[in-house]
Amino acid sequence: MRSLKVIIILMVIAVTGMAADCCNCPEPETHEYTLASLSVGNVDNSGEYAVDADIQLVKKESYGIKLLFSFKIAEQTSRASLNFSLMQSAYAACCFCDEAYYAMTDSIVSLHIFSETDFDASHPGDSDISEYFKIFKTNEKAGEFISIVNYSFSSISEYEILYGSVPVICFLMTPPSDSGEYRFRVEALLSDGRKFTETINAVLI
Amino acid sequence: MKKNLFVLLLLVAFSFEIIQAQEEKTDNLQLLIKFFSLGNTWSRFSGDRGYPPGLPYCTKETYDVQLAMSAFFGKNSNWGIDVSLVLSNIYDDDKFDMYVRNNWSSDYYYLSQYKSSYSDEFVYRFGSGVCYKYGKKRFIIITKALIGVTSFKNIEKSVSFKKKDSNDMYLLNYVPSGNTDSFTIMPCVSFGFRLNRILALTFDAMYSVYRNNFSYTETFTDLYTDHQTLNTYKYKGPVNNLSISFGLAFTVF
Repeated sequence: MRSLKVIIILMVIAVTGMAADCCNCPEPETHEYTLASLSVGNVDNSGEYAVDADIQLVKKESYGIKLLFSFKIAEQTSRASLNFSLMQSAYAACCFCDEAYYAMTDSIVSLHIFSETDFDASHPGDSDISEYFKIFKTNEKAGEFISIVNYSFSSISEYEILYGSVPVICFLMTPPSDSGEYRFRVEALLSDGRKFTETINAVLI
Repeated sequence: MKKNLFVLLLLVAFSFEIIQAQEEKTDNLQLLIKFFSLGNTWSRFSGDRGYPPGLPYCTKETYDVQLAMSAFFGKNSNWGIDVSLVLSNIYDDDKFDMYVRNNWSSDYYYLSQYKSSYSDEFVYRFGSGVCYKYGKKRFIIITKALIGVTSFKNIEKSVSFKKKDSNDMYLLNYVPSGNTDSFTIMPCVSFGFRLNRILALTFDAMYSVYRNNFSYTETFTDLYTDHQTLNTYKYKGPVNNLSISFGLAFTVF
């Protein structure tokens, strides 16, 4: 009889410990990423989807610029804390603990596209023509064109961060009246003060 | 999920049809309760032509669960009252999708379709009225004259396009109006074959007709300039439905 009581007490302790461990999630790790590089290129959007322009000749109505933002790990701000318990939390089937967060440490303060050649009468060489480019942002109602000046990393998903890079297509929505060879330059200013400047190969549009 | 929901609906479908009733202890009441029945409804809309096919609900086929109960008061009475309910899951065919692809593919790339599918939707028809039965032995025929209501559920459809050789993107949107339940006339004939004293096989053929003046507004939006082109399709005329179902029924004699 006495041994039965001991067994019952031990079982109560074990069950209580298991229940407590269910709610004893470790602190989730936060992985912070920062922009490592920016590469740019011409894209041809004349088909169903935008593709890299292999030849330097693109219809001006379907021209675009691809920005490829690549990320790297900045730092790990927090680690899982050690908790004393009678059993491993991983064995508790009812636990729904967050494993880790992935976030960007920096954001784009300003994004601008310059034409290094004469674009039109009001935009001579080295003019800012950012207003002529738009980014198509999908949403539940198909999508909308947003100004590239308003673009930041806020809409980047954790999956894209983990993937290591995210492509952003800037569509030329107001093409020049004259066809010819054009060269564009992209300047991105980050919140930590870094500035990325990339010049794209000349293109005939 | 949709199929699971439909199966669940079938499982809980204690449909009640009344085929006949003659119970020794209940001389004054005959009952026929159809508790399980599956079928199909085919719809024909004879209104204006020219609208995008496959867009309104009333042009679509549905999978049905039918419940019914007929009661005859009096041992030798052939006249009774009937209550019938048809629950339908709409079968979303690809007519609208094909229409959009064929109609716009010369100048545009079809990207994707937004909004919900008809397959997520359920509609019902409910009616009550008088019935008359023939036969007392193994075979029973019940004719019904029912009036009731049909739920009406047209849904919004949206498709996005990209113009060929261009950066321009467009949204084609169809928004319905006039989704109101409709008064319905539902004549029906039921055939019953008694397997034993309490169980019968049933076959039902129900015709139903209702009128619903609804419309669809077509909006073609340039997502860059927000310029919109509007067009309205007005639908008139009766909607004809034929429902066929097989099932099982309890008979209380």
